[in-house]
Amino acid sequence: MNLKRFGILIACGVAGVMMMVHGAETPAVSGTFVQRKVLKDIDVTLTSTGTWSFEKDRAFEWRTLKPMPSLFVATPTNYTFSVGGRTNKRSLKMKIEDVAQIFEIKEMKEFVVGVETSSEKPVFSMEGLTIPSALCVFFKNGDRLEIELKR
Amino acid sequence: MDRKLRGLLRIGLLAVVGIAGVSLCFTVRKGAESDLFALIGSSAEVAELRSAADAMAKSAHFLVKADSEEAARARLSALGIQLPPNATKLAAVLNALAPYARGFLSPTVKGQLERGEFAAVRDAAMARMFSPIPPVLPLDKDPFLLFTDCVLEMSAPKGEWVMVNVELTPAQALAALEAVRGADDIRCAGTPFHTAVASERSKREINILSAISLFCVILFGWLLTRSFRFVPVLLGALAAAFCVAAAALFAVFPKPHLITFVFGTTLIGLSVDYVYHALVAQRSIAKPLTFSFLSTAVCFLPLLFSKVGVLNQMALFTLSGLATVYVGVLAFGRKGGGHEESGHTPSSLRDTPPVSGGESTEGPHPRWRLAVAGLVGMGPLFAALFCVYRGIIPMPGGVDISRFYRPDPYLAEGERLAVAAMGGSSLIPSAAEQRRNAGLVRRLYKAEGANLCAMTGLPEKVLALPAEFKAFDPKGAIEDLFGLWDREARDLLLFSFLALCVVLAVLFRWECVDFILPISCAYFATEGLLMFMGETLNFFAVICFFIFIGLGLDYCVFHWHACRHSREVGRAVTYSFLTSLVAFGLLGFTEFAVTRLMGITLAFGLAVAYLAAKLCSGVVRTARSGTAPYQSLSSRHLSSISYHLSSNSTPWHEQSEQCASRFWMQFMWYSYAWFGKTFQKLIFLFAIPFIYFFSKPARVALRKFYGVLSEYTGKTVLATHGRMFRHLLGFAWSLMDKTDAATLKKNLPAMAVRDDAGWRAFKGLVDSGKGAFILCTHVGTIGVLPALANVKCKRENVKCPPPKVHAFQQMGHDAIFTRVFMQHFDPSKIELHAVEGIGVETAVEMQEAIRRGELVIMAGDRTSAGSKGVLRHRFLGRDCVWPKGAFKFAALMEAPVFGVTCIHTGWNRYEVHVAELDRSAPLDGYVKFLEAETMAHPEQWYQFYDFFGGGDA
Repeated sequence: MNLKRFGILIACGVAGVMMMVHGAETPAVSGTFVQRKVLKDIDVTLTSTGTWSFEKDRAFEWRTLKPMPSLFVATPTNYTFSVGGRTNKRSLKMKIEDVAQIFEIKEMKEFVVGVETSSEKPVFSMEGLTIPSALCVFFKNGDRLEIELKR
Repeated sequence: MDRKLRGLLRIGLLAVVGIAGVSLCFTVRKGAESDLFALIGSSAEVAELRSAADAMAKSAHFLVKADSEEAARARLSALGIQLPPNATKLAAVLNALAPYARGFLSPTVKGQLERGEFAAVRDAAMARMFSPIPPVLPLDKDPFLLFTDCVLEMSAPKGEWVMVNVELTPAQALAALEAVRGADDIRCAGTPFHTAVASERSKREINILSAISLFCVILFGWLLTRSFRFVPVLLGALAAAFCVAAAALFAVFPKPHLITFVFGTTLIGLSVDYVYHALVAQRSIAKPLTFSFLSTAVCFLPLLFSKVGVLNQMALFTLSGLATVYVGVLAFGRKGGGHEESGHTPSSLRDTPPVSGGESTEGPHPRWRLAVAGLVGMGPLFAALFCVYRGIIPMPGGVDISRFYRPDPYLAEGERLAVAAMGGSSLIPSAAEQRRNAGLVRRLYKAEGANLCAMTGLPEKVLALPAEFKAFDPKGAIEDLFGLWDREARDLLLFSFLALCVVLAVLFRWECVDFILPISCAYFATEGLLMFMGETLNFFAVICFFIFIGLGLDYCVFHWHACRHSREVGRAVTYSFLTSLVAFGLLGFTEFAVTRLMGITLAFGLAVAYLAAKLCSGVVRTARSGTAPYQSLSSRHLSSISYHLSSNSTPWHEQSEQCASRFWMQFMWYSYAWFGKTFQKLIFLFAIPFIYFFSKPARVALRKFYGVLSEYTGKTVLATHGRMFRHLLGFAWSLMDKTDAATLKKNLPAMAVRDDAGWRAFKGLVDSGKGAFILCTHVGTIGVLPALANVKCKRENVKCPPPKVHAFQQMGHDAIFTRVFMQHFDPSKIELHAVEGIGVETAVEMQEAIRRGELVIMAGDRTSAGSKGVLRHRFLGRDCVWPKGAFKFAALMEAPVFGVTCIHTGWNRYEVHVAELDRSAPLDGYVKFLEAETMAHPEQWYQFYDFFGGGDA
């Protein structure tokens, strides 16, 4: 047997075991999104794309890449929103384990009527954590936010 | 008042009160308006202010030194503060501010715009637009998301203080405040806390002030009526007044404001005055009551037509309440007597004669009273104007409602920390700041608006901006409204004053001046006070003017009535004034700046109105009736001065009484009676320069005297101003010594005698119980002679009743001084006789008196008015005339004749000099005695006319 091949086998095995071990404790999931913000009064739709990632009990990240970059990060204790080089930080009194929960943050929920998520083909589903493939947020001013998630 | 009419009035009043009571049971269910915004109307502007105010009304903030909001909340919970679960409805506040969004910029964006970094602002706006974060305002209203950016940055925690925002009711805020006050790491801010503190403070003040007011009303009522029977009468009157007034208010206005009842109830306290007068009047007060009510009605009537709703309500409430009490007093008050009962009513008030003729002319001279009233009225205003002119006090500025409320220091610090926690700028920037921000936003739209629309697909119509930016400035809006109210209230006040002048002129003709002057004095004096306080004649002050002008007229009317008819009414006026003074004056001790200002204004205005009403009462009547027995110094003295310029030989009894008036004499008397002779002498020092200046005839006479004396003695004695000033002062003080010796004897002078042959002869005569005839002089002060007897008896500790003295005096000349002197003269040992009344009977009477061992005194150095015969004898080298009657009298008495004088030897010290005269030639001996005393004591020569001239009769 070739020693190099043996080493690769051992590494994959260890990696597989490592993946199995870590996957059982803190699943880390990431993917991409397409967001459409429909402005009711002026009949305009703003479309943006970006990436998202979620690590249970660690952080939830929503990174808009196009057309203008911004970053939303939520940890168990606080959240930040960074745009144009400026970062606003707030404390957080809830766990964010789902993208829909962003809209339940104290500063957001006053403007939100409700959030509908698609139960068909969730992007991720494991140990009580479900990340839907699509969701729609309805705002009090008549606007709505349509998000498609991919992994 | 006709019995039938009174009956009808009673039935009518009871019916009205009954109907009002029933009506109130139904209408009161509508409730009263308590929202302060309802006071300022319902325009679109007010509606916007109202929605913003409503949104912020429950917004409370706790500032806690903590690392995070959770820690802050935990700290508050540890203190037992139950934080409501619902967060502040920030959206409501922000929606209320939406119309003014362009005025709100975060400090970061503002800095970028000022530096021209428009592209960076645009990019940040786009990034936010494409994020999942919802905007605070729709994009068509705020395409650059500037308001969203401002709110997000403002609400970010800064510094060591963390702000916890909650919604609280005032009751909850009060409980929370009690829990956290004292904790170093917690502060409070926000409307609910201020409302709670102000409310608690007001309740405490109202309880204390109400208790004091009630006590004073009962006390003054008891002092006036000496019983408590007035209490049910008063309560009944107030209840009826309130019932009718409230019913009228609810009938006319859909939802009257609560503040009307607060003011109106205070004003109905005016009805206490009517009740007081009704209770004490011995005869009908229908006339003065009617005039009083009419004048108050005219005063308040213009308010019914004001554009300010609450003024209409207050006027209706007050007038209907007062009308009820007025009718009640007429219907149930004391019946009239005299002509009222007979049905005959004089056609004009001027025809109604005063009860005691001449009483209305008593008291200080009208001109003095007018002068004092003028000083009281105009003095404060002129003083204030002078101080403003010299920059001692600043000129009062415009309306500034921030002065109306001074926050509790604890809450003020909380507000300051709240601003710091929001990054150093408050949620609402100033109006000027908002306008500057709006200008920057306009530049941004112009620079990057088109680019934003192109990059995002937004339609260009979102960039449309109104031509003019309207800043969110509730303070400015309210101040503008108050400014309008101020102007209207001042116009109404002027109209009311003019209407009052017309009505008073119609009712009282020329005597209307007696009423207009006091209220004018009160007006001007209070204006002066406001200037000193740094206040303008603002809306609240003008309301006070209406009140004290109305009350001031009441005082004038009833003073006028008291002068004419019944003095007991004067007491009722005084107690009415005191009641109102206490009730309104107590407001001056409240914390709330508005009520404090109103209390001080009312108390001062009322006091001046009352004082001026007393001073001005009857002045016009006195002046027009011509019965002015006490002519003023200026009128008489000017005429006497002009006479003396041409001729200085006016007889002493035709000379004017210098600087005398009843008021001044009474003032001097009471100074002596209350504080003693020394005090009287000291305060006279302030008057003597004035008297000296106006005593030209006296100075002329003294110059001549000193000239004659110098010529006779060969030693020059110059009549300098200093010498003459001391001369006149010595005379004035001698009058005070004389008054004391003959009246209250509070501070008798130390008396000594010149122990010579004359004194021994006189003493021997008196000790043996025999009488004598005494010729006194006007060198020294013979008037203190009675003190010798008192002092001698005390010193020798013997019972030695002094002989009775009969003194002759010219009564007509020193009219004012004599009258005051005689009011207080002790006649037990001295009997004064008028020189004018000497006749045969008098001679016989005096002979009898001397036989009884009594003394008769006459002046030997003054000819009396009307005396036809004189004697001539040289005196100090000049031919002088002497009273023939006095020396003839001396001869008729067949008794020893003495010349006596009392020479002033020191402060409150006199020495009696006596010389026995030859009965066969008393004039020779007398003149010799007088010359000796004059040359020895020239400064005590108290003859202030040309003794040596040919003016003597």
